[in-house]
Amino acid sequence: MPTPSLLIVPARFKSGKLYSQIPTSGAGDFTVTRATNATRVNASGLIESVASGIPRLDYFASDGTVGCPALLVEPSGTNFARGVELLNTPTPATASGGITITTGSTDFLAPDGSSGTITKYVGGTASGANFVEYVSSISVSASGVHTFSAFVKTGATNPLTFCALQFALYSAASGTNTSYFNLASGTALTAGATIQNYGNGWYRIISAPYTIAAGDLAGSIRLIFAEANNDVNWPASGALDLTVYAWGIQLDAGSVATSYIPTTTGSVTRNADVVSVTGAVSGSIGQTQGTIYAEVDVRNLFAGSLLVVDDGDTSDFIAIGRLANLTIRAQIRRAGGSTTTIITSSAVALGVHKIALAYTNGDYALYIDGVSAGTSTNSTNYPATSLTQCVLSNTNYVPFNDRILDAALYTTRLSNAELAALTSL
Amino acid sequence: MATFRKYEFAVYADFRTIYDAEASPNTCVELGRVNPDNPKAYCVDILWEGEEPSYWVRHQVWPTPCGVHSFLGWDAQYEADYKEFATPQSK
Repeated sequence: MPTPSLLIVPARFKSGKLYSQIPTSGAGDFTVTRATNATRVNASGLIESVASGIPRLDYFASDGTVGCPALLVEPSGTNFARGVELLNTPTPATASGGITITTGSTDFLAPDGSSGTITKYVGGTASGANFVEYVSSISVSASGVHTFSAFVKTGATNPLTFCALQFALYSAASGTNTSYFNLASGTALTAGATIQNYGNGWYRIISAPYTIAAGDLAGSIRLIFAEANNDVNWPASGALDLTVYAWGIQLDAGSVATSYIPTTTGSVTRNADVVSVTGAVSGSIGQTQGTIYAEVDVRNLFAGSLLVVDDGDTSDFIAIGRLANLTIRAQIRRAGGSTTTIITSSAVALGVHKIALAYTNGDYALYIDGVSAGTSTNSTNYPATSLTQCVLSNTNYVPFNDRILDAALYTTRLSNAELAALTSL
Repeated sequence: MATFRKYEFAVYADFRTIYDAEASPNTCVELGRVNPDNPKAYCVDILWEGEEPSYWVRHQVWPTPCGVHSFLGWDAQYEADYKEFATPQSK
């Protein structure tokens, strides 16, 4: 197996820089820009803020334990849920047997390790629907798909088993407005909804995407005590003493609940991650032939770019990315032409995948997890100008919106046998 | 050094005219018609990667920190700029 001309396993960094292991000259070190803070899961499994310009080495693992660090790259995002915890209007009212709310509870630490920042909800005797609602109408800035998420943890005694997230009072909206979750088993019960285990009993519950219409951008978001899946109708004794805690509510534009964006009195925007290297790295990029490789942790149904080598802008490039249906595709572009998809794989499962594209004009091969995912003999769209930039994430392409464990470039078109070996899990 | 500023335009078209011709790198968040005192006005927040272009200054507004929106990690800087530029008597 040839030695890669560029290898990046995200580990060493400083502000504005992510160091590559190969080459050692510094020519392959990535420049990192993000003008805002952002959050990640640190090595202790806690959500923490990362300053602007710092690449995010994220240790999140789906089973609630910390994993190996991976580079988290996301597009810009805005949390429209103003206020850290404002799901504080119970229906029915507490005095009428509705949910009792305790803000600043110290019963448990929050997912960021802080004390006194979580909200405690305890059911009352009221029958029928029991929910807590955002204190006032919550407005988004544009119509389109939105995703509502919250970190929740059940009580040590009288734990609430079922809960739901709901979009309400957005007229003319469409889609699944109520998503149900089983907090005892840690499962999402509604199609399109997801749940993530953050450890210490905390789950991030994520609604199915919901489309808000242009005519009404203001509505409500609700956390519902559910009696069972698709059942919010409590019998006579109500949800008495059943307990759940919440923290970190978030309303994202788009179909993905992005990394947590803390808010105070207004909505808050996190800028996109830009991670790329240009200039001398051209010597590490195969010009007439080569191979690009990445190992990724796919958790979101999202269309985004994974790894690109280009001419410094988007006129000429060779790229691998994924579609929202989790197919992996290889695309090329030659200046003056249009972007051409040369290979599209079958859909992959959520999880870790190793992906490599070997290229030379008229001969392309895409391998995923040790198996060929397609070939192409396209001989008309190969880039015409020098490839001078390697992009892990920038705003010329839609960012990957997930985690990258490592990436590599080779200046030769690896053989199919070498591609199989390189991408074997 | 990035610069966080808030702007208000009489109508949406005024914003589009200046923004669509803008070349300075930035992140723009369109807030829409969020000023209750001027419901037709169109409001945006912009985080410039460098200095704010001078021709944008006349559209600046300075709501009490940080208004209805901010960029993550920029609240303190906005508040400092607010004291510097919006309420100079506080110096």
